[in-house]
Amino acid sequence: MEMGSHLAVTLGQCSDAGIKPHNEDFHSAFIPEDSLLVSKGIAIAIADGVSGSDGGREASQLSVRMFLDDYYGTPDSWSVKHAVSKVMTALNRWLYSQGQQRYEHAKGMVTTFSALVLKSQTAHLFHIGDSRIYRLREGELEQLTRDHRIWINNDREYLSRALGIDVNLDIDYRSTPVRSGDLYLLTTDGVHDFVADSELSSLFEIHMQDPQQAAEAIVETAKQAHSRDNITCQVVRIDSLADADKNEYYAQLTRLPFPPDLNAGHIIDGYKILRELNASSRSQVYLAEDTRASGPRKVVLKTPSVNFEDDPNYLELFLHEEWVAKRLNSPHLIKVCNEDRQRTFLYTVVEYIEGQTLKQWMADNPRPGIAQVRATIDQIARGLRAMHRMEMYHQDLKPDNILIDNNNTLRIIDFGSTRIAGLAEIKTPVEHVHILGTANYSAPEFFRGEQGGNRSDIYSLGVIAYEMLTGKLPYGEISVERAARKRFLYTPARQHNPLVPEWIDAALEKAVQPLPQKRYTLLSEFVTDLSKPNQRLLQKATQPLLERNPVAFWQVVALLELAAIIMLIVSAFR
Amino acid sequence: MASDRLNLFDFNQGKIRTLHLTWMAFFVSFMVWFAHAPLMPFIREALALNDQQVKVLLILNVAITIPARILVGMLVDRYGPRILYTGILILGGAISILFALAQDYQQLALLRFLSGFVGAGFVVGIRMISEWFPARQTGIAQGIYGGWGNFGSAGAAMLLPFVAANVGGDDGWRYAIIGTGLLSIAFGVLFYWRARNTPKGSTYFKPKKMGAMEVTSGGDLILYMLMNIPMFLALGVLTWKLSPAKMGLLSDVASYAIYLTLIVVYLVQVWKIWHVNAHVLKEPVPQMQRYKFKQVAILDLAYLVTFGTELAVVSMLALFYVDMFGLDKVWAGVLAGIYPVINLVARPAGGMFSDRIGRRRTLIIVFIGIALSFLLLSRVDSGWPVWLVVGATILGGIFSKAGSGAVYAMVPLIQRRMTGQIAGMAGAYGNVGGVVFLTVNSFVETQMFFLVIGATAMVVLFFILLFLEEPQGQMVETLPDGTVQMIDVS
Repeated sequence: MEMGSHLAVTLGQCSDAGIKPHNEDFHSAFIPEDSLLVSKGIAIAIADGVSGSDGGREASQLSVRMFLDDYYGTPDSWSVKHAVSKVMTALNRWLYSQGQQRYEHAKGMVTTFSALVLKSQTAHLFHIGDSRIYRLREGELEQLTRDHRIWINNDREYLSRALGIDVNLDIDYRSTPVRSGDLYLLTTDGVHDFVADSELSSLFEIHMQDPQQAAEAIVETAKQAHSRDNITCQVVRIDSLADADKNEYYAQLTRLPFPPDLNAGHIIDGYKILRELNASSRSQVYLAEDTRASGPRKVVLKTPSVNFEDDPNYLELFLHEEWVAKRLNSPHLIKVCNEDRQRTFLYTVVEYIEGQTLKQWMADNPRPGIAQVRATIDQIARGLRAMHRMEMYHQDLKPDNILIDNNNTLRIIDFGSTRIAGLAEIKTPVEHVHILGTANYSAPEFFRGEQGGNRSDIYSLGVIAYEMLTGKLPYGEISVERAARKRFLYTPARQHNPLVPEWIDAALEKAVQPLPQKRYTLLSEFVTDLSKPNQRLLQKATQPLLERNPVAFWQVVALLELAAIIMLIVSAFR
Repeated sequence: MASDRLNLFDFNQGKIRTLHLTWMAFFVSFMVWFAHAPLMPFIREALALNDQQVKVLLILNVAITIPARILVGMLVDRYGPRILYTGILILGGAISILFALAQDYQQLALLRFLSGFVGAGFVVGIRMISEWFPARQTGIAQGIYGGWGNFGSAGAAMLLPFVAANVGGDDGWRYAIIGTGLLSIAFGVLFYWRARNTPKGSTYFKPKKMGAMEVTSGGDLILYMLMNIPMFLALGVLTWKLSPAKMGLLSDVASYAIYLTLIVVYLVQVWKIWHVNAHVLKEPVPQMQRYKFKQVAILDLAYLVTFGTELAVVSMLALFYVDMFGLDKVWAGVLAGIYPVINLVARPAGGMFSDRIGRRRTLIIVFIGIALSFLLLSRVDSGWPVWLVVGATILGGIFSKAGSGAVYAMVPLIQRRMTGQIAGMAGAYGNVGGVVFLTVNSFVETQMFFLVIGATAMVVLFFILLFLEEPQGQMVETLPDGTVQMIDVS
């Protein structure tokens, strides 16, 4: 994922204990290179250990260090927000428990924490406590964070939120576009309680060219202003943005040529083609033997279709597929044969699974038992969960994309439509195509042009479970052309198969709700509801209108009232 | 398992079923579209039409196809091929039944004009085939679709005069045309019932829009705008032909309204082209997506000659045999029917030669052939033996149809992602050719008509020689042990 020009910043940092004996502030930053810069960006963090707590100094140091270490250790498929919130939640728990253990009370290790992550063309801000992040753009200084303080009276204020106070963490998040020439300033209260915003602005006017000088000048000014606290500030100037350069981007996509039509006996890069498994208008799939492996080993080779030779969208998706597979590890997901061999053509190689697709299995077993369906859905859910943990959404789950091997283990294949949160954040010069998946299994939000998420995969899984039990689809056959205008009315599974219990039907209905917010939030909830009756779901079906849909209830009441009034008026004039 | 060869009898394969359904739909649509041509001698007699009226009917039949192709291209994006082919067949069938019931020349003319849109069905099938077939089979599948489907006009030519002569006396031609209309409606229903837009269970990707084409340089932008003019000019000439100045079929007001509409639509088109492409003036297009529009322009002109000839000659051939050699109407229809039959072999052969001996070379040979055979035909008079005339038209037919095959063999090699649009534009030019040649036919003697075709072929031959470049393919070689390697050509 090389880009034309890189994100580049100049950093200035300065910290001083001020009039205090110890410096309980801590700050650090990490500017990675190459691929890590693209996938994770630049992280800058500042923390102010709370003086009232015993381990304040430790807390600020540890939180900044651990944040930087752990953030860069998160999978590159994760979005910044997801990665940081995972890291911060763990960090908070750790600080809290350490504080409890070592100092035996909740105020053991407490610190403010503000971090700035710059990725691609966006600044992500994470903030808790009363440190601050400012932005100076075109001469105007703006505070981007809000102090978490409670005013008791005119001269006493307390932190209302901080890291390490509670097991639950409530951290502010905000993202904003970055521009070249922007200046970001992170400060602890030793600075911003004593130096006015206008003074900061004028300091920047003088030291615009050198962020380090600016940082030092700010600390010096705070000292002069008789700051009563530790004084720390970080200044980041954006020198250039990661700008997506079209030519370079395309060159990257077309680095490898398309393989020609392959026939049995052809060898590319040591893979000997045995036969063609499938060919569609988008790709060719071959069964091949790896002649460089020690023993006989069969693999599946997928080559791109020349129909898309000059289509950057297609190429990007094609390259993504292997990228995705490489980062996943689950017995229920297909594995990519990731070998260090020089490739001379563009193709992907995955393990060969002997067996059949779920679609074939369904055709052979039209009326499976509930237990069989449950076991199948559970395995697919495990595979999906491994993807969702990586913030990847399959988006094209269907019975053709699920393989059953001879040991009855299920594997999800084909990551060609997978959405990767972390990559979606990186700006590319091509507009991304909207993939609609396969009409019958795609969540309705895709047809409305909305973005999918884990609930879209839950929808597809729900449709598969429904189809396994009934041989039908919950909303009938859906044609792509008319899907956007379709009314999604659920046909209970029991209408097709009277053996389906009411509680399973209720779970299916919830999984395939047309509106994503009405669906299950988590895969595990759906899987659980398939194994034992969920009483709440069952009650819902028989609840009165007032409880099920209060708005509708009151709307009906109001309407009746209106009708009554009109009737009265009319009769009064007769 | 699937392989290079198509097994056309493997009806278990969805794509084979789809291919058969689609070429048959095209066949039926062509039959409806050209049902009038072999029956023209009958119609002329029944309604006592004069020569000019007949010739105008022939032009009207191909006129609306030009804008209809563009419209259908956009609709197919929106509604998918299945519903569109069904719609075209049913509506086309209904119009042709109305045509069969026409009582005077005005009605005939209007309904023939409307039925021209049936000719736009071609575009729909092209989309269908490309959804169903893998890249290595699309060439042959499109060839079968186009070749066998075009055969529909031959089917009409050979079958309908028999029906007309043997059923219903003077109204025989009406029964024949009603028959094609009913067949078309029935097949439309069958198509809706059996055909599907994409293979079952395949992932759906939004098809590319068929709006204005993308060009990749400033010069090409201007060339593209200019290349749109002939399509409107052809319709303008037709309007003029129908205006009070010539035929008087349109009133003054109506013809000026049409001129104005054509100008406005052209300006809208230019604006759309500008809207899609203005960015090429600001920043250069990445190497990977660059192509030369002159290649498209030359293929357009080549198809104007090859397919335009086909449309024009098919339209007038039966009448030509009757008028020049006094042949029997049924016999003339059958002889005229030979001409479109050539398609079955000549069009795929053109594609094959193009693959084997090179795109440019094939086109050059084919155009020399077209020019010579039509120059020969321009010397024809009633003293020639019939077999020689039929032979000469067959020769011209072979070259022009091979030319159509060669043009479409080259279309996908210009810029893959725009194959649909380039194919659509070439197709529209084919119809422009039909309108132009038939208009010429309405002004001059038949010999002159053939001469114009021959001369146009020579002009286009010069363009091919001067400007057309052989598309560069990637070179791959296979070593004796089976290893596939790239050869660097750059």
